[in-house]
Amino acid sequence: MSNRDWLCAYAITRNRDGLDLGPAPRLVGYRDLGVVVSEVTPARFDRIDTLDPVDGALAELAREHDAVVRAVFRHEPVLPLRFGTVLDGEASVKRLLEIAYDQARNCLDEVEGHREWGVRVRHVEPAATSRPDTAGLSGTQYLVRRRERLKAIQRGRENVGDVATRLDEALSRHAADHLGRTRPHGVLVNTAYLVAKSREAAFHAELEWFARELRQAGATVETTGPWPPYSFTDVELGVTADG
Amino acid sequence: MAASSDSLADILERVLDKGVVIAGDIGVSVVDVELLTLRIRLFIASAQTAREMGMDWWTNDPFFSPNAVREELGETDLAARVAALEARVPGRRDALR
Repeated sequence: MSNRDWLCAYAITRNRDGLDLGPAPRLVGYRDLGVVVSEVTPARFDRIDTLDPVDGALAELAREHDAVVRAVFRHEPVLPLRFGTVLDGEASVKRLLEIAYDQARNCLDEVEGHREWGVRVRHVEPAATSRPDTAGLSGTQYLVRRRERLKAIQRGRENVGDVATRLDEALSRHAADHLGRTRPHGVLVNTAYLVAKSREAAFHAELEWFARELRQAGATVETTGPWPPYSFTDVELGVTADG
Repeated sequence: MAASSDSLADILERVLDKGVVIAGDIGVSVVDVELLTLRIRLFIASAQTAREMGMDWWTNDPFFSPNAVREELGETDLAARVAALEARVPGRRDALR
């Protein structure tokens, strides 16, 4: 590994002339594919390890990464590379594209003309403060009340679960692909959908319909997007040492 | 494409978690640490800033915040009854005699 010319790689895309990325990032091409890169000092990534309370270096780098990927995605299909991919000079970038050419090209063809949308469903539990009135209740009566209340909460949960399942079935019909992502605490559903632009209107109409039903059942629906296809480029480009 | 209004938390969720991984001698992942480690570091690093931006979903996540589990119990009858019982058990809260 030489020390000069480290390149931060953001995304694989088509090698097209006139792809205007602004001044900093540039395209390193091989045949009809290219990797969007910019010069980087690896020390910028080192700062992530610090626990300095005012240091938002990671947030800053992640935003930058996303901004570059989106800038390319406005004009061309992209395969976002994993955050923190740093390559040792242009020769390495070209060699990577040479080795991974077929795989990358197929993957680009698959995601072309599609955008990613995120859908999150949260179950809103009844306020824990709505206690049963315990005045003058015997212990047994109290326990019966409490059991009824827990049952009602459980029924609500199952109801939301049913609607969420139907929502997923309906949205999947409008999507080329879909994938469950990790669920933060309290999130019932966190799914990414890869949707062709021509199907987006139908996708969102369906979503709107189910969102109403879910709100009535005591849940909230959040959507994010449109995203570059982050969740649908989960591939590993193998590079052998003698490549 | 419309400008995205996705929050920093949403961006981090995708940027740090997905994308093409380059394996082998050619790709050098400088950030060679587990995602969760990164996350935790970030949250320690900028929890205050993030909270001001309204990006504090992890505060209710038991994984990041063990207190969240207690808070789930916090308002329930059960917690009140436990507290009442604890108060009646002699010596529960006394220092060592």
